[in-house]
Order: sequence, then C-alpha cells, then structure tokens
Amino acid sequence: MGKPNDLVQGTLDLLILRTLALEPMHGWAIGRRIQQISGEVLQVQQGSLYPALYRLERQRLVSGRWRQSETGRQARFYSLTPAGRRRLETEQAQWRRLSAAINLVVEEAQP
Amino acid sequence: MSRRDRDLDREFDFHTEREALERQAAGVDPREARRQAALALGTVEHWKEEARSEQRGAVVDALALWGRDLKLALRGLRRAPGFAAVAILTLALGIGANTAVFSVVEAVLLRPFPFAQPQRLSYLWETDSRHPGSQMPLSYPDFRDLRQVPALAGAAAFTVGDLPMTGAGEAAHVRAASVSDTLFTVLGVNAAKGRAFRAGEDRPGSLGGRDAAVFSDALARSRFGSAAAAVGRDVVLDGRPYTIVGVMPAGFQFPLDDHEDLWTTVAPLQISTSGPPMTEQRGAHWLKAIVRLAPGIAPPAAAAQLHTLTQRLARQYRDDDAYRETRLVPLLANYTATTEPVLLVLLAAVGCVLLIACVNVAGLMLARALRRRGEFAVRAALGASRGAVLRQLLCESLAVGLLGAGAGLVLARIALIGLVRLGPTGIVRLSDARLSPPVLVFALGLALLTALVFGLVPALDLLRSEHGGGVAATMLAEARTVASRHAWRRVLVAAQFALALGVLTGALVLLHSLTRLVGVAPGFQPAHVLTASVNLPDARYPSPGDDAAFFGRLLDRLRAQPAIVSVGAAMPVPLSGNNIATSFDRPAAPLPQAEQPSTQIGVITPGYFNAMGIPLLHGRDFTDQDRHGSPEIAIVNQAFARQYLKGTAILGERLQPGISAFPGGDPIRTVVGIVGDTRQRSLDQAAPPMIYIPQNQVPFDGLILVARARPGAEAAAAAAIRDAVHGMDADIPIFDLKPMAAAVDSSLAPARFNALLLGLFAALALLLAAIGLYAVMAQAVAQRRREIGIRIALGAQRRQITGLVLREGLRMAGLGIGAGWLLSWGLSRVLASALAANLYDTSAMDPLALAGAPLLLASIAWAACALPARRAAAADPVASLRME
Repeated sequence: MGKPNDLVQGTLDLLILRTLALEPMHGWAIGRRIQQISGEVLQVQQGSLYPALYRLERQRLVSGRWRQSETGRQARFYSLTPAGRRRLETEQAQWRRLSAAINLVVEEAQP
Repeated sequence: MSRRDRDLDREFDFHTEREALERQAAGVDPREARRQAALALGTVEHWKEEARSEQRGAVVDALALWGRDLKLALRGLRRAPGFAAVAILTLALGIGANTAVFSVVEAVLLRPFPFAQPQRLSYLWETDSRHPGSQMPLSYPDFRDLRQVPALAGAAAFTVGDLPMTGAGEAAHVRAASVSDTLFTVLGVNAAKGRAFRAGEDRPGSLGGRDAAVFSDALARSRFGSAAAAVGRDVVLDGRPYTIVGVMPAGFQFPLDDHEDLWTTVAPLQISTSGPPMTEQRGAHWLKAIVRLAPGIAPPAAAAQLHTLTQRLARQYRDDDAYRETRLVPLLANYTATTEPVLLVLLAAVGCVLLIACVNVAGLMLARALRRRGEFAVRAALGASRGAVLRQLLCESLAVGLLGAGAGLVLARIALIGLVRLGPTGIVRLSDARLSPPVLVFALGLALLTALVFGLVPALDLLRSEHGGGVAATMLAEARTVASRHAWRRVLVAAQFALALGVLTGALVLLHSLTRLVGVAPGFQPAHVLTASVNLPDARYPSPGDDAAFFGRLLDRLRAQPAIVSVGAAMPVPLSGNNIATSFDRPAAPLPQAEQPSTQIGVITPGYFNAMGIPLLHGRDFTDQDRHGSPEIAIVNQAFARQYLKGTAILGERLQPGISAFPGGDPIRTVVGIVGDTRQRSLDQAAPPMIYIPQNQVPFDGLILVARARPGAEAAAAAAIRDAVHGMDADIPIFDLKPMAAAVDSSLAPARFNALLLGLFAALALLLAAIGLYAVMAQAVAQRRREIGIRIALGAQRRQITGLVLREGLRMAGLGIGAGWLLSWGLSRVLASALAANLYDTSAMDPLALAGAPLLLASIAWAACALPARRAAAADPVASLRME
C-alpha cells in the first residue's frame, strides 16, 4: 500500500467491467485504455490485471476468446457476459453511493 | 505443461510484444524496447502464479483464503496485544479447566479396562434381603455354588491383604491378593513372563509342597532385577514356601481399587489348626467375586439364574443363607458408583465456567469489531463480499480459540498434576489421567465450538446492522442497533450471573458439608497417636497362645519407653479400612441363628482405649488379668447399648458374639464396661454398634499398635516401636506406621477434593462474571459520558450519578441472580440425588448456600459496578461535552 496509483481489488474489477462495456478487448488494451481515460493517473500493473481478468472469467462475468489482433497475431479478447453487464450496473450504483459518502466525510473533515 | 499454462504463456508473450511495439513506435530501439517491456512485466513467474491461483478450483481457493485470513488474523492479534492477551487468557482458563476435568472423566469413566471384553465383566455381590442396598462379600462355599450357573463363562474370587515376605532380600510387607485360580482366565490377561495360575493351584501345596505366586512387574524388578529373573524363584510369604510361576505385565492391576505387589491363591486359607478353615465356613463373608457373562447372555438373564440358585441355597442352608440375594454390578459401575456423579457435577460446573468465559470473549470481540466498523464498511464498498468479511471475523475467533486452547492445554497439564496428587484414593484410575488423544480431540472441539459461539456474536451483529449500503448507511444503521446491542449484552451478563450462581451454590453446599465433616467428633483423640500394623506369621507363631504372649511382651516393652505416654493394640482401629463383623445372641432372649443381628467387633488389648483416647463411661477397662481361662468378658459402646440393651442394666448383661479362637465354641461373655462411640469406617458414617473383646481371650495374629506419644516426641515414639518389634523378632516387618491424624485426614480427602474443585470453579466463574459486568458497565459509562456530563452540568449530585450507574449494573446482575436462584432451586433436586453419597449432614437445598450464594454474588456485582460508577461521577462535565 502507499503508492497513489495502487488500485484496490474491488475497484479494479469495476474499471475492467466498465472498459469492456464498450467493446471486447485483449489484456494489454484494457490496461492501456484505463490509463488513457484516467488521464494517465491510474496505471494498471499487469500483476493485478491478469489475476483480476481470470477471477472475473471464473465468476462468469467476462469470457475470453482467441482472436486475431490489430498486429495480426492471435490475442485473447475479453468481452462482458450478460451477468457481467448486470454486475457492472450494481457496482456502478454502489460506487456512486460510496464516493458520495467518502466525499461527504472528506469535505466535512476540513478544518 | 497443461493447456491452461500454455494459454497463460501465449497471453503474456503477446502482452510483452504489444508493449514493446508501443515503445518502438515512440522511437525506442527495438531491442531496448523489448528489454523495457520485459522489465515492465516484472517478475513474470510471480504474477503467473497469482494468475494461475485465480484459475484454480474453488475448494483450493477457499482453503487458501481461509489460510490467508487466519494469517491476517494472527497478525491483527499481534497488533492488539492487550485484547489478545485478555481474550486468550480468559479462554485458556475456561478450556484448561474443562480439559483437566475431562481428562479425569476420560481416564476414570470412559477408558476401557485393560481386560479382554471388559463390558462382559461384573462384580458379584451378596446382599441381605432384609436390608435393601446392602452389599457384602461372598463366602467361599457360596462362591463355589454360584460359579456353577451356566450364564457365567467364568467366575473368580479374591481378597486383599498384607503379607510378610522373606527369602527375597530384606523382609518386607507386601500387598497381596489371595485369589481363586480362575482370576487371570476370567480377566483374559496373561502373564508377561512365565504363566498365570493353572486350575487346581488354589489347593495347598500344589507345586510339590509349595504354593504358586504371581508377581507384579514392579516387585519382580525391585527384588530380582527383571521379570524374567523372578520366574521360578522361591519366596516365603507369611511363613509358607511359594514358587513364583509368573510375572504380570507392567502396569497390570487387579483389583483396580488397590495396588497389589503380588497374587497368591486362596490355598493357605484351606487349612486350619483350629476349627473348619475359612474356605469351608458358609457364614464367613470375606471374598469379593468377579464374573464373566457367557457369550450372548444379557445381565438380566444371568441375574435370574443366580436368583434361582440363591433361593435354593437359602432353603438348603437356612442358618447362613436364609436372607441371601445376589447382585451383579458391571465392572465400571462397581468402581465409579460414587465418583461418577461428582465428576459429572464438576464437568457441568466447568462447562458453566467456559460459557461465562465465552460471553466475556464475545464481548471483547464485539467491542473490537465495533471499533473496526469503518474498516469493514470500506472493505465491503471496495468489493469484499459479505462472506469475506464474515470469514475474516470468524478467522479471528478461530485464531483466538486455537491460541486459547493451546494455552488451556498447558494450564490443564499443570492442573492435572495437582488433581492427581490431591485426589482421594477412592477415585479408581485417577492417576491414569493425562492429556490422551481423546482429551486433545476434546480440547480442539472446545476451541472450535467456543470460536463459533463468540465469533458468531460480532458476525451476527455485523449482519444485522448491514443494510447493503455504504459507509454512511452503515453509520446510520449503527445508531439504530446500539440500543438493541446494549440490551443483548445485558441479557448475556445476566446469564453469566445466573450460571455463576449455580456453580457458587453447589460449591457452598459442598463447602458447608466439608465444614460439618471437619467438625465431626470422631470419638477418639487422633493428635500425637501413632499406629503401626504387626502381623505374626502362622508358621512361627502357630497357636493363639503364641500370638497373645508376643503382643503382651511387646506392649510391656513399649510401656517402658519415655516417648510413649500410653500404648495398646487393636483389630481393627477406626478409619483403617478393616472391620470384623459377626452375629451375636443374647442368652436372655435367644434367637435362631438366621435371625441374629450382626455387630462390629473390636479385639483389643488393655490400654487401647487410653491410647486412642476413647472415653470409658461406665464399668472397667480390660486388664492383663483378663486372659484365656478367666471369666469371658466384653465391653460395649454406647451405640450398642442403645440399640440392643435398652431397658437392661447393661453392665452384667450376657452376650454371645460368634467369635472364638480356642476350641469349645463361642463363649458367653459378661459386659463389664461401656465406652464412647467411634466413627469406624469413615468420618461421614455414623458410629456402628460395637462389642470389644480382650485380645487375650480371642488372640489375633495381626494387630494394629496404637501408641500415644509425648507431644513433640512422635519421631522418638516411632523409632521406639520399630526397635521394640525388631528387638523381639527381626523377621517381623512393621508396616503402615503412620500418625492417626493421617487416617483422619485421608478420610476427609474426598469431601475436601470435591469442595476444593467446585470452590475453585466457583471462584473462577465469579471472577469472570465480575469482569464481564465491569466491562459492560465501563463501556456504558464511556458511551454515556455526554449524557452524564449534561446531567452534572444541570446540577445532578455526584451521588445521584453513582447511584444511576450502580442501579443499572445491579439490575443486570440481580436479574441473573434471580434467574440463577430459581434455576438452582430446580436443579438442587438433581444435585441432591447426584451428590447424596458425597454430602454429610447437609441438604442439597442447604439454606446457608441458597441464601449465601446470592448475597456473595450481589456484593461481587456491587464491587464490579462501583469502579465505573465512581469514574462516571468524577467526570468533568466540560471535558466530556467538549469531546463530542
């Protein structure tokens, strides 16, 4: 812990699901996309990304398939399952509540 | 390499290549780009492993998660050493006490006996149908008849005693069982070296003029160096020649309530120089019997066959067997009839202690979980499932439970040493108690069970207050549950006090019973009195006259010793475990033999009453002039006079007890004196009616010397006894040389053991309940600091604040005490029947205990509340208001 761009497990799942909601992607692209959209603030370590992907796959929230990539080589593309889409919605709702609550606390704590 | 692993490798290869391409596009040299990409990937193997573990099966996964949480929990405990120490110590006390008591229960009640098919073994007793519940040994002729019953696969008779042993090193007294030749066959145990008895070896001189003996492993080793070396050796026991035919395995014991050095057969008892031998007297009940039920025979069927035979014997031998019945008692029940209820009561008491401890630990866990609500809420919001948070909580409980059990095992081991040392000899197999595998399983079970109990409390609390919302929602929900949580804690504290009251009441009942027993006047003065057993071997002192002459001269020598104030000898002396009983008749009102009452007999020398401190109330003591040939006389005790000689002059009355040593039948004796009553068997049994007879008129070959030492000269008196006996015959060992006070002390041992243990558990229960109440009150005061501050600011007196807190705490305790009191009242009926044999002159509904326990508990509760109350009253209103 301690590094500002460290992502906590639950949040990373949310980010992955959100990214895949747009289109199926391979692992490298997912990490890249999160980094770009967050304005280079969030850097996804591969050491967290792939375990998270496999965990989501085991929970049947995403499914992986080998397809041809933009470079012509075979890559594993992940896409959201219907269950993944539903999960994304509840996670998003929960995130909104949490961030609002934390915001309240953090802002109120100002001296 | 599995397909899955290949997939992983391919995926990572692609990732590295794509990363390198990206860097190349940014203008980095291709080789450098590849290097950087690999670097960014980090230690590939490490995260491959992590990725792989995400793909593994759910079970392995779950186990790994539990393992990880357990490790986390241990780390968390290390970071909260105060909490950890209190929780673990509390639990260790509870689990330790339970494990120690269970070790005893396991060794005494649950462990199978080391005999073949022990569940088919029973003791066989005779009873007197006029006295239901009576239980007496068998006579040899009865045993010979009863063993013929077809329901019995085998039967063995035995009796125990001390024998002088010579011819194997220094002369010594050994503890020996005289048994029928069937004993080892019935038990199904073989000798470790040599052999056990063969059929026919209970007839005298069966080994070419010698008798057969079987040694214990311990005696064989101490006398001959090894078990093998002992087999075939000759020894002299009680003046008779024996050959050692075998040595039993180390640790073998029978009977289990005694410690035998060796086993002989009843052969010597088949011969007699005067009158019929013991083995031919149907009226002489001196043998215990153990039987093995035939295969397929249920105990009732065997009892029915025995009953039929007993009825026939009663008709056939009216004089001796008119009122005989038989009773089969399973081996375990025979040894544990009185100890089992005590052990179960103790187990119930420590169970209560553990419950109380559990509540305290649950309170601690709850308080800790409350402090960490924020942490849990954040974890839940970040995606940890409710299950994960519950798992974390349970893992912490599990860690506390396991550590508590570990520490408890250490405590139990220490406690067991004390238990075994303090335990009365009446608890058969107590010394076998140890932390055996079943005990360890029990302790582990307790750890898991208690962890579940006190782990569930905070877990349920968490579930209840969780409404699926985030941090804010949790905070709102918490406010709502604070009130109900407090009510719940109150119920738990009340329950603690109810349980503590139950244990305390039981302990006070036993304690009261013990003080009653300690206060009993035994009828003799044990201080400064020494006793020692002296047995004369028949071979060297064949006639009754020899015995009388020896003891007469011995007492003369002892009387001359300056360390000895007065001296006598008797068989038996009180609390020695011996007793002589016989029927008697009154020539003034004769009865047929079968109807004659039975009485205890004391065969004594002149000076015995004086030395033992038994008061002579009327008439005269025996003198040296009362000998064989002079008028036959007797002295009776008050109980005898009250029961059998009411309305007579007593002195001058004539009695005919069935006891004699010289030919010519049982003489009629004239009562010449009345002495005070003495407790004979134990302090808790009323003094029996007794007839005392002068040793010179019925000489015994074994007597117990009784010497009253000059105060402070006990050691000199003991030396004088040894010197005097050895000065007369160096081959006569002295055994059981001990102060009479020790006999009184060991007669108190069972009651003291019970009271001490239950008292200890009650103290533990009290302490834990007090800590529980204190914790709840301290927490409540801390939570209400603001309210108290406002009250004080508005002018409330400190006294009123103290009263407020005290009232709340005492209401809680009072509720528990009230409920516990009703419970104790209801339970005392159960307790009464369980402890009937262990209470002396005290009812299980003892008013002192029923009134004293609530009072004591209430004052403890008051003390536990006083400190938080004072702290509340001392609160500075300004400071406590500013805190918010």
